[in-house]
Amino acid sequence: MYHRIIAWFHQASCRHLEWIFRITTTRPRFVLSIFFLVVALSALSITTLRFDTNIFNLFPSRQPALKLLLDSLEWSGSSGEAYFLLEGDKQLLPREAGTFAERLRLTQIDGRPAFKRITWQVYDEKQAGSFTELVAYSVAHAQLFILPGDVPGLLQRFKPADMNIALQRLQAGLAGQFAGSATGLATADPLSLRDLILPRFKAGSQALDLDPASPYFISRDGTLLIMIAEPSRPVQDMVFARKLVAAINEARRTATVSITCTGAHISAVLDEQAMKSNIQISIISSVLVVLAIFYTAYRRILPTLLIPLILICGVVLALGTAGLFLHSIHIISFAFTALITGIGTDYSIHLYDRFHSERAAGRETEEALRLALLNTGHGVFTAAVTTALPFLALCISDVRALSELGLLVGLGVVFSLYASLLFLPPLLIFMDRRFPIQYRPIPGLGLHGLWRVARNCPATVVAVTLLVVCGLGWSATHVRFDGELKNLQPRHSEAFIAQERIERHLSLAPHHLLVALEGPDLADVLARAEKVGSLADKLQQQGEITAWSSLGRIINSRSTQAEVLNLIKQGFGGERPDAALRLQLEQQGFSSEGFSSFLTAAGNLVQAMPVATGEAIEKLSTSPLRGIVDRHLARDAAGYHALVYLHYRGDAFHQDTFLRNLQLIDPAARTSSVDLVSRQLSSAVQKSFIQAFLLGGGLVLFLLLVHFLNTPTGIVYSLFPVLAGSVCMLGTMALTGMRLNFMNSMVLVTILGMGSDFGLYIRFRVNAETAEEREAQFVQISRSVLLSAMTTIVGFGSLAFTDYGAMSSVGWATNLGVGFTTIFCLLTIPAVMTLWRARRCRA
Amino acid sequence: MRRILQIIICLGVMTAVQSVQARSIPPLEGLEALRKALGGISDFTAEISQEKRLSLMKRTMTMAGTIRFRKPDLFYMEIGPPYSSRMVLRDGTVEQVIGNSTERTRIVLPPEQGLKRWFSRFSSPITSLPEGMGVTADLAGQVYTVSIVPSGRGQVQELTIVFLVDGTIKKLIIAEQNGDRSTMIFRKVVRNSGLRDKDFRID
Repeated sequence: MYHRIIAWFHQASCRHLEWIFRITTTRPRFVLSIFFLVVALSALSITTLRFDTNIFNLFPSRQPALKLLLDSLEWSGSSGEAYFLLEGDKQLLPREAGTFAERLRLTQIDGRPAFKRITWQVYDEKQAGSFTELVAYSVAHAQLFILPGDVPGLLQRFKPADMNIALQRLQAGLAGQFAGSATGLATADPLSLRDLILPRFKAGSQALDLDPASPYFISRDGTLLIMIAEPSRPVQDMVFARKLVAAINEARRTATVSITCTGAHISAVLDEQAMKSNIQISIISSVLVVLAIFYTAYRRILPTLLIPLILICGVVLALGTAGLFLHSIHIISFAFTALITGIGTDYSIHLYDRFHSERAAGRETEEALRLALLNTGHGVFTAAVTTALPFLALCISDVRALSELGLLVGLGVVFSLYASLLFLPPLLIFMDRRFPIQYRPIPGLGLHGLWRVARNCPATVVAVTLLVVCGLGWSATHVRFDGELKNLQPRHSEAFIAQERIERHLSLAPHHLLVALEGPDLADVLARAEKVGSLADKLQQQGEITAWSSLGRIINSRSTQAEVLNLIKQGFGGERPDAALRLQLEQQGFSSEGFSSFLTAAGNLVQAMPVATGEAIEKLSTSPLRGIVDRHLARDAAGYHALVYLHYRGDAFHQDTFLRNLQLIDPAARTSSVDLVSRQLSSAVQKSFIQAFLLGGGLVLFLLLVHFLNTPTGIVYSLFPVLAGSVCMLGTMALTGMRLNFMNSMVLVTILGMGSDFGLYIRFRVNAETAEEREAQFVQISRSVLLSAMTTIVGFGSLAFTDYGAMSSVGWATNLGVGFTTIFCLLTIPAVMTLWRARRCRA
Repeated sequence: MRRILQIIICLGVMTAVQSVQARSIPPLEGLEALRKALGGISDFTAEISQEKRLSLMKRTMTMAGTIRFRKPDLFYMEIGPPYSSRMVLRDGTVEQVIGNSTERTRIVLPPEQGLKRWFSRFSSPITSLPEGMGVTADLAGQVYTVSIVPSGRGQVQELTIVFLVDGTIKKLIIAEQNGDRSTMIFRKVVRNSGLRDKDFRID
């Protein structure tokens, strides 16, 4: 049964090639018309595709940690904010920031303000009224915001001597003020009780490590000022985003300090520009080099010019077909075009090389074409399918970056093969009729020498090969995995660099872990967050984490409020604090009527009751410090989401222990951190890798079995170079400090398909009985293999020099893999063949 | 003889009074005079006496101190006991230290209220009244009085500045919406003395 299936596939592929040969040589116009019609339909399908630029969309958002990370960005609005970094003279920064903020505020896009909100100051005079209201509320409800430990400080402020000093300071403040700027705060809080509350607010609202002495969002070293702005349209509106970036560039054109920016809108536009530019350069350079290689080798204009047509058809058909399955394609996946340039040219090289060689050997056009299409074509067909299937196997990956790239390259390879098979025969017939030439043997490119070395010292070649593979194999065990997502982004893009600077200068700690407690009831959610807070508090005391924040650190729970009130009552010992204050005010010449609200609040302190936390949250939400609530509490259709942030440095924080303890106190809590995202993605990629490897490897093996039905040793010849090449690739990566990552690890799957082709071609072609014939066959097919490897390296090599870490790593890894595989194919395989033949002869 | 002397004295007094009697001038002329007056100044120092009538205080607060100004955006004010304080305004940022305290209070003004912005309005001849401001002006001899009434619901109700033709500021009156009123009288005004950064430190 097994042999029958394999035999059936073998026959089917032979018949399929015969059919292609027949229709392309007898009815070329009809074939080409149908082909171009399909290409036109594909072009139509491409118009339905949307192009995505968000780096996070490349990864499986159903992974719990990544999902929470994305949710939290959405809840806090950070996902849509723009960040501007101003760097330069410390004295100039605030002034330049003011000017720049004003320009941004006046910026209009399509007749509407470009930004909803621009923030760069800790305190904005425009918000003085609402800030004073918040101060008045917080001192009137001190039990909500003052820690039990700060109650003695509060009581001290109501002592006559302290009140006297506070009121003298108040007078001086009022005397030195300009136009009533201090009057509001003076009446709301004459004893400066806010000094006990505001530091707590400040700590809670701080997502960045800012200079506490500065009224601006400025780094501690004073060299960097950050401005946060909320664009008026969402990031999905790319037309708006492009206009926004143009407007930002205009606004910062005349600035005297350096202004860089990042954020979703900016990143989307800049990444899009960078990616487009990278891809354009990659495609153009790889196409030009590939054409140069082809023309240099064969010196024929028309077949050279056919290559771009084949590549365009392959790309359009692949995108058009992908458009039937996908709604959007990530812009990073466009890199597949460069890969198609490298891989898709191989088939034209093999077919033309054989045709040319046969013509040079004196065969007629039709006979040469038949041999090229049916004999070499069979190898080409199997090679193309073995290349395409591992790429297509990546479609099962959860990682969109891989599944999309796999689908596009897999389809592109198949369509490039068919474009080659359909275009080349009519063109070669046409050329021989209209522009007949004297076919001359193609230069051997030094392959004769290589064959002789392998033939004369096969044992040495095999021994050296094994030595190299073992050496680099040992080194390969030291290759490390890089789980940092940011390393996959464009390394020189402004958005990326600005993001790095924020992390370096303004981040509270190198890492933070986010815990989300969710549910429909606010009180329940906050109570659960408080339990997590207790756990975090212990970790901070133990030095595992550097800081933590939650709403519970700013607003006291009912029990803490009761404790604070109890301490206040005990401290005042039944006396009303307002009476003493009223007396002090009158004695110092104040009109006590102006302070009536504070006096009432002070009087109520001794008989106050705990306040509902919801009321305090509501009050904070309508104040200039609403950022505290936005950062720690979100509400959507699913209910409330209380967020606790744990800031930590390096390995001091034992995350696994924390997660176990968290599971015990709140099994429903969700967690996220860069480490967790990376860990879960690594696991997803590992799973995808195993699945794709098994599927792709299995399919490749099956196709090799089909192809080498009569010569099963061909499977070894096909697989040895690629397996040895992969080991050497990993070894070299380890030696040069390159790391595996979420993207290039999949090269280990795709190289299997690409690399097995080379051995397949050589073993399939070199089968003559005499040594001279075998040498001629080897030189012919090795030339094709060498040229194919060169075009593949050019295609992937163009990626290696892109700015995108993801693409660059794929380019380097593939080039190393293809390079080593080619060397083993051209040197080790002939040596093994020689040894094998010698052994057979002896037997 | 005595009667003649009385008449002469009366005439003399009448003439003198007539010569310093204020006459209204167009607001634009007043603003332009202020612009020209300020145009010739790169910095100045002055001693001040200030009187504040605040709704929060039962009695009027009187105080003395010094002020310094340097174009385009530096202003310093020091008030002596019993209300000691030092304040510096750098464009849109106010920093204040009260008494001997080392604590600084910082307030960032909106960009439109920054000193630089105000002075940039005086960089070219004024041909129209600033939007949203009522301006009245009068001239009494060599003394201009320009009153500016901002529209809207800001804290300041009216700001009056009294200055000489040569740019010497004599008096500044700020009336607030809540009835508070500050009057600052300038003495010993020294212009263009070359003030340096250290003169604007509150440390």
